Amino acid sequence: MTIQCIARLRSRRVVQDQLEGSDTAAAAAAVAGGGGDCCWANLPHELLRDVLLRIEESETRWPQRRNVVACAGVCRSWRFVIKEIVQVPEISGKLTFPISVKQPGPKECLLQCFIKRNRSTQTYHLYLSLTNALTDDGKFLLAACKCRRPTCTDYIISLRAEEISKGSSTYVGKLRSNFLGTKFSVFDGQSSNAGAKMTKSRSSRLAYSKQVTPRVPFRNYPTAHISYELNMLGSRGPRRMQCIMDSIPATSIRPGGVAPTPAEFSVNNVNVFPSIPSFHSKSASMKNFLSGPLPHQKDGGALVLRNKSPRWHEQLQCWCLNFHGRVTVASVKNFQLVVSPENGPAGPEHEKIILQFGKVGKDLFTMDYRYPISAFQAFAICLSSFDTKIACE
Amino acid sequence: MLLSKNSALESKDNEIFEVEESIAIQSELIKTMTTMVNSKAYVNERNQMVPEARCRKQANYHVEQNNKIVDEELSDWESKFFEVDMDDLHELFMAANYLEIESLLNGVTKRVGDFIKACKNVEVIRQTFGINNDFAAQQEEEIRKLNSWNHI
Repeated sequence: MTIQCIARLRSRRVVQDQLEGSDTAAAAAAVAGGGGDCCWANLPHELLRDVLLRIEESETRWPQRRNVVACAGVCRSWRFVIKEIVQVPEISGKLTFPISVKQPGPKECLLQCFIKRNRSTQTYHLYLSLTNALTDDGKFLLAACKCRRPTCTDYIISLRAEEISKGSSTYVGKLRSNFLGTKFSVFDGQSSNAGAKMTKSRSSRLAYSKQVTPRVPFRNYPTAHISYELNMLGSRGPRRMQCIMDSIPATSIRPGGVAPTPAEFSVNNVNVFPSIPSFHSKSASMKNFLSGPLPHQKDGGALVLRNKSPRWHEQLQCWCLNFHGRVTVASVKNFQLVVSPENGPAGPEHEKIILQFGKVGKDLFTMDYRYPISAFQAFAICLSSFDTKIACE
Repeated sequence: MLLSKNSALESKDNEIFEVEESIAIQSELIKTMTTMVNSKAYVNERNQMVPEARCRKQANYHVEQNNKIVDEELSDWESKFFEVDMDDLHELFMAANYLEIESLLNGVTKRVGDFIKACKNVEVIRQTFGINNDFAAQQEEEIRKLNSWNHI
């Protein structure tokens, strides 16, 4: 008796020995790329995804998280899957790829980092905190080097401490101060939607476009302007800070608001890795991307941050802010930034601390930031606090 | 122990295995076939695709798994079961996927993940799994630079 079985056709069912040497079958049933005749290179997409998803879910903290980044560097198919799985810091609260430092921080909480200053080399290193302790090794994020010029000072910010120069491919951006050290501009080495070219095709998971955007001259994009001034008490009182975030719209802090989220670093503005199309309509990274370059002239303009005014403590005879234990040494450099209600009445979104910076040791400072600013922007703002001479006794 | 029905499974190389039905249906594939065919002993045409070695391993896996009640014993036994070379591990992976055995698939997935995590860097991952680097030269250069950040 012939038994006719209705076999369910599922893409998972790949039987390797039948497919060896059969290019067509392999392409249909497995993820393209990976190269070679090796069986592991042609692992079915779902199986590869299961393996890599398990790794991503277990390696949540640094230094183990480097395993996730390493997987993205193995071959194209692995990179495709990892990029599909890893969520932006805004949602996951985790920094993964180098581009994470230019993506908005988490919405739900402050991401804790610290800055080490090296006075002799005039460099500053930003680290992600690994524990709740104020002193731990941390995961290196960015380095900045101070360069004095005749009429201004530049802080060059880079992904590599050893390669701090504008021409280097690890250049991220810079902070420039005016002659008096009262006004600063933050420049980004790439525009806020660079590296996020979307492919139209959603039908095939295997689509991996080799398109590149045309080369454009290397340039800096203004991303923020910072100004310091004395308050009415003059140099006896805490200074006033204002940050105009040119690249972030004021609407970003409203419910459903979005902030620019670059997907990749680009080399000299050439898109080396075309953006992976998202197949999940709920993906916030795609939602952020679709918002495109947000014109900050409309809908309330650019986001403006101001420092929270400290209160005078009569008994302690000093200005106080509640840093929730994250700042332990009094310093005029310490600050907390909140969103300034530029247009209209203050709401609950103007109470949240967006950036907090303060001293904990001789050359050690904590930096805690959240959405909608990125680690890079937060770092640049903190560097301005080092540099400004306003209200320094 | 009550004698339960046995299923006869034929593998690709025409070897027939007698496996307790309760174990055989751990494979979703076989379970489906069984419910559709409703026969105690049958020749499973689809199973002709599965080489003998895999079939035996599946049967062994489940027999042993069902016998081990104590957790420590099970996890010890499982670690030994998965101490195989990369080729055998791949075979297990493919078989577990084809036969749709959830527990075996989880075990292999975890083991593969452990292998990856034990690799120091991208090059070692490639060597371990025999995967070629198929990035374009410009992409590879960019990956190298950005991933050096990974190890600082």
